[in-house]
Amino acid sequence: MRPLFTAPVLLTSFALLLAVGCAAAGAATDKEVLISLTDRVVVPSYQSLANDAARLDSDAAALCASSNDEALESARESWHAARSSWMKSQAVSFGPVMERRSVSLLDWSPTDTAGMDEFLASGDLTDAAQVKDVFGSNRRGFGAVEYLLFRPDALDKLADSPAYCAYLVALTGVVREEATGILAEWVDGSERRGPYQDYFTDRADSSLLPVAAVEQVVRIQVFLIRDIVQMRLASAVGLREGGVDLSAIPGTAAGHGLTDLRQEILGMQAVYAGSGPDARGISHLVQPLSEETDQRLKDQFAAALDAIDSVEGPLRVAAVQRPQQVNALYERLAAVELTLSTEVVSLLGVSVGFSDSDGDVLR
Amino acid sequence: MSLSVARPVPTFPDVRQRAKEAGLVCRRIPAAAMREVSPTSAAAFRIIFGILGVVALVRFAANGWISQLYLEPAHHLSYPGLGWVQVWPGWGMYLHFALMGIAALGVALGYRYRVSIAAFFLLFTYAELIDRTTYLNHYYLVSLVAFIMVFMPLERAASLDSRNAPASGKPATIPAAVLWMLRAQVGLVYVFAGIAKLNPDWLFNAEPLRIWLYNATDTPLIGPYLRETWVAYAMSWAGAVFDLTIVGWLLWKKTRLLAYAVLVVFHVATAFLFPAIGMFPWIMIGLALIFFDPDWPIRLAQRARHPLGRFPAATAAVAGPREAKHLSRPAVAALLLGAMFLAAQVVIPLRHLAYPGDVRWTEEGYLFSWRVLLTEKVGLVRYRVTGPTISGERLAYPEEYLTPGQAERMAYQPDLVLATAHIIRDDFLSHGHEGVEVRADAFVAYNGRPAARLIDPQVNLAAVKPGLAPKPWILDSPG
Repeated sequence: MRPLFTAPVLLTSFALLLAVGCAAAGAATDKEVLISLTDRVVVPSYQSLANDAARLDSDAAALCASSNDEALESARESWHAARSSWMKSQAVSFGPVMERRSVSLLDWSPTDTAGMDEFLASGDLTDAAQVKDVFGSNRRGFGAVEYLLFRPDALDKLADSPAYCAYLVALTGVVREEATGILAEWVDGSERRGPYQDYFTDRADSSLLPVAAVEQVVRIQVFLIRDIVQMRLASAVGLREGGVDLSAIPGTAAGHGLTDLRQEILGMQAVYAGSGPDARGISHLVQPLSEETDQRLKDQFAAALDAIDSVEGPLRVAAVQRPQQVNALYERLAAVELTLSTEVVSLLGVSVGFSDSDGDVLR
Repeated sequence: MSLSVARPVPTFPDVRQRAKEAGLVCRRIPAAAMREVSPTSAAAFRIIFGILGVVALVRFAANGWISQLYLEPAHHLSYPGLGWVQVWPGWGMYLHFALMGIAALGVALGYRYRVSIAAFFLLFTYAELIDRTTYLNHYYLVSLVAFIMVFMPLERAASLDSRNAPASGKPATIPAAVLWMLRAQVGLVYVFAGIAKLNPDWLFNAEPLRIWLYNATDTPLIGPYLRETWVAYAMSWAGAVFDLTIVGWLLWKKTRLLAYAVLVVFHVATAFLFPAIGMFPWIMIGLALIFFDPDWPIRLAQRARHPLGRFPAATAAVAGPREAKHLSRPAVAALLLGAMFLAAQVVIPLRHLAYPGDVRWTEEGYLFSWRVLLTEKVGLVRYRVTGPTISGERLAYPEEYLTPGQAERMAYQPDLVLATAHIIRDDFLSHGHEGVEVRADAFVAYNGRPAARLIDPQVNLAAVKPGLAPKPWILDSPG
């Protein structure tokens, strides 16, 4: 091609590409979705958790200072609030919460109630440092606090046993400290890294590509719904061990199995659809590829929440006394699992197998 | 009104002439195949193959894949009839891969070449046959190429073997058929990859490229454009045209250099857009050099004024028997075996035609047929186990028996869904249950379609025997 024509052709091509690029910019990008999710879902989730955990800790201290029904009720309410925030944050349990292994401090199941009783019987006073560094994961976290707060003789124990109170306050102190720590890593950063929100959304120089961050978000949704359906609910409807198995459902004392589920699904729904006006979620990446899948999943989330609301009483009780309700709930959530695990994963090109060997997706 | 033109009836002399011409061709092709040519191109092929083998194995080990793919799984999903191909105990697999690396190095250096390439072929193929979920097209290609290399004298130039051999006084040569075979093997990958792309999803829906490109927007510079539908269509059609025609362009001397440049750009682009395809682009870029003239390394060295340019083969008179009647019996046998091997390479990718349904859905005849980057499939399977000693119905999930990677890959392959059903059956039997029946709720979403049932949920998979016969329990494709 003669040089005279080369420049105009190149310039025209560049202009065309630029125009196309601008047109393409109309669709949500991975980065936009991540920023919206982080600002509107992730950080608010951990803010709520930190606030509720702080309230729980102060209520536990107040309860120990004055052991009465009102203080106990207030502490129990605070526990429910903090637990709900924690369960809602399960849909965004990537980043600091994974790296810190917060689950081992906050939510290990089943709780070793026999071990806790043994320790309490020793009369030893404990503190947050000992609970965090010495105690096993099954003797701390929400389950352990629940055991101390919701047992029928809680008030008597609190009044009679300094060890009981010390243990309770130590436990809630660890919950508060950990919840605050997770939030701080997201917002303020840590010694080894700046704010995780900047890293995760590629707002700062980040080694994490937006597409990899989106993949993390989707993987968490898949693992969460699989845990709910395949482990907890399948056991509750008797499809795992040949009979109704309630061991996978937490909430022995406080009866919060359904609330847990509701919060988890609400969290997933927020991640998928985004939270608030003009928010962007995973839906905004799926919808341009398949409106059908996008709408179906939104409907399935709504149907799952309706099914949760339709179950009467604590999940552990309903599983035995009203199995048809729990079966219906299982089917609704299994539908969410199917769409998420196959269609959404396929449309977004996500590998859920955690295998990075060559060509694991692209044969 | 119809016009008819009377065709001339061939006379006897015409027929005789044609037979003579045909016979001449039949004799000249084998003769041309045995024509002696410079061994340097084939030597370069051997060196590149060996180096790629070493790099791939180091990378494989460094990424922890020996443990992840071979040692961690509690069960391996074997190929039919190859259940005896098992993981070695203890450090056996590490030793296996170490030996494979040494063999690859031996191939590259041309040290005890025949032993090295035979060892590499056996070790590599054994490892690939342990578990079906590790299948990759380029691993299959490596096995095939290694196999034919066992029978080829690729050590005649640029090798320790040739350096150590007593000088014959004559420049080293190899039969042209060696290059033909290697070209055919590499060329078949492109041709069948192109044929596989001639399906409605690829051509008229730009799937699965539309999905993959949509999710590749992090790619520097061009990322934002990859979400444009027309880009997906353009790349789909360009990819099909490339695969279908590149061999022709590479074979034609006038277009060879440009074609190779396009090939490099194509594969480098796929490497950046789809990092998950690993070594495949680099293997194809390396192996496709075989389409150049037999002495291209020497010419290149001469042009670069490199000492290699003085290699004797560069000036060797290339000659050989002109007609088949001059060929030795071993040469004829070798040519026949080579032709049979290539014929099998043509038939195997087409075996899916013997099965009902869409091969992309049923996967019957999908593997070993160069269906490269052709489908985006994700599945979800749960098994329902019943039996006289089981109360009600039990659910079992693949993840309880397989690694996450295995579970992900088996979920959309019917024969692996079956194999996993058998693992579950055997597990229940080993726990004292009798008459166990296993049924699958298997759903697959592919190329952007909604998830659909893959397996007939009424069929007791515990009683189904694995094999190559068509599987009536695979449900119809969602269309």
